Amino acid sequence: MVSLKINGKSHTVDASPEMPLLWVLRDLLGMNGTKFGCGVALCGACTVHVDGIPRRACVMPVGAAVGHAITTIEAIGATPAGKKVQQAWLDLEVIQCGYCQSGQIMAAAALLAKIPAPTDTDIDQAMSGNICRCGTYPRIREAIKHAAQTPSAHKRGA
Amino acid sequence: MARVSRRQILTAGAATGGGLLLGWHLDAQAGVLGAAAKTTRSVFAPNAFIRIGTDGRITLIMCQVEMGQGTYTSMPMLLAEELEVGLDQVRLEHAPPNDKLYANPLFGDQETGASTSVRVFYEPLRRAGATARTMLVAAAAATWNVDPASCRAQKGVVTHSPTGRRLTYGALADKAARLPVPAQVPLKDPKDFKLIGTSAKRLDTPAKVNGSAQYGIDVRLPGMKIATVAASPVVGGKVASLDDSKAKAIKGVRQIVRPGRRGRRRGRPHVGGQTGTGGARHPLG
Repeated sequence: MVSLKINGKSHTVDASPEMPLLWVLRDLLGMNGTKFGCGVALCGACTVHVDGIPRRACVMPVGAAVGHAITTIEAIGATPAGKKVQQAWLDLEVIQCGYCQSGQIMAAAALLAKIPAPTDTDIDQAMSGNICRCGTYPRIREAIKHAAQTPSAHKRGA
Repeated sequence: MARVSRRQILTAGAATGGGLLLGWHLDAQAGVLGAAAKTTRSVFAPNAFIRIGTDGRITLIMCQVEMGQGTYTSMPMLLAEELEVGLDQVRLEHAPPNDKLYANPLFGDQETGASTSVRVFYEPLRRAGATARTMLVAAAAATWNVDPASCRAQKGVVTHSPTGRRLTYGALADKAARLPVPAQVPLKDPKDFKLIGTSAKRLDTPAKVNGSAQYGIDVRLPGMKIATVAASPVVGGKVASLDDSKAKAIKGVRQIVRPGRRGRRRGRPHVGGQTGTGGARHPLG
């Protein structure tokens, strides 16, 4: 049995510590927002946050996530950076098929949480591991900049 | 024999999949209750594409797969234009598999591809929307005992222009469901279009920014088993030997299948849609 903290909630699953975190999320917990893409950490579709750091859930043994705070696409909107990124994705209509976008949004949210006003180089470095077959890269870049310029909710007094 | 309501008859027709189902291009006129309609009461479903509940919920049934090409926005625009509802007022639902109700007329089955969606469904979906709107207006006119021509539909509400009386589609759903489905309905003059030809926000985006959108890979059916192929690392490679003892020892593994020579399909390259777009045969819609 493995105990995990995902999106602020505790879960105990019957999994071996070697099982990839992605399998636990999708197959054992039914959290399907995080996508299976390549399975070998090459595409970024499975990106989740572990203690705020973007990680590829498809190659991360679930045992390595024990004791750490896991955040998935289902709850990223509860973070200030995640909320801004989701709104920017809507405002700029970033998405086409959307299959990679959970990972894109997780990567972008982690970037903005770390670097509130990223340069193009920062964006390149943070996003280069997330592949989009639809080719939405120009809009992703634009949306990250758009999100960076969005004031946080608490600053607006909302 | 107990008196059978029209809706009960229609439900029976939909449930058995025969009788009243006259094919995709006639379903609007034939008055087939949407196969997706799960309840027979408190729902107005004049065809397989539209469902309006007495709670005011307007559901549009999507027969074409959304693969990023935008059908979950363009198809609703066609329906909503003639139904006279805003895109912000509708909910979308995947159509169940049903070639009789939802076949792509160019292919003869329920298929998305070859850039056909808007081309082939442009008129059928407008007609489906116009049929529903005509019936809702007729229901309102009957309620007020006025000429339907003196009523107009807009944003999910029918208004009697001379008196300003208003009824929402939800309030009219029950009455509209009891009316005969008109065989002919007028389509709007393109100069009156409010949605078609305009730029619309995609309706599939909100579910795709929070992980709630369902892709083929996310579907779980009762008793479903999941298979994976161990492909040869070289072209034309054949299995020389197989020791599946370790694989079988993994919890949850039920069977290891070693394909025989007949298992190979020759001369027909696999053409697949994108991941998670089950049912699509062509990579582009």
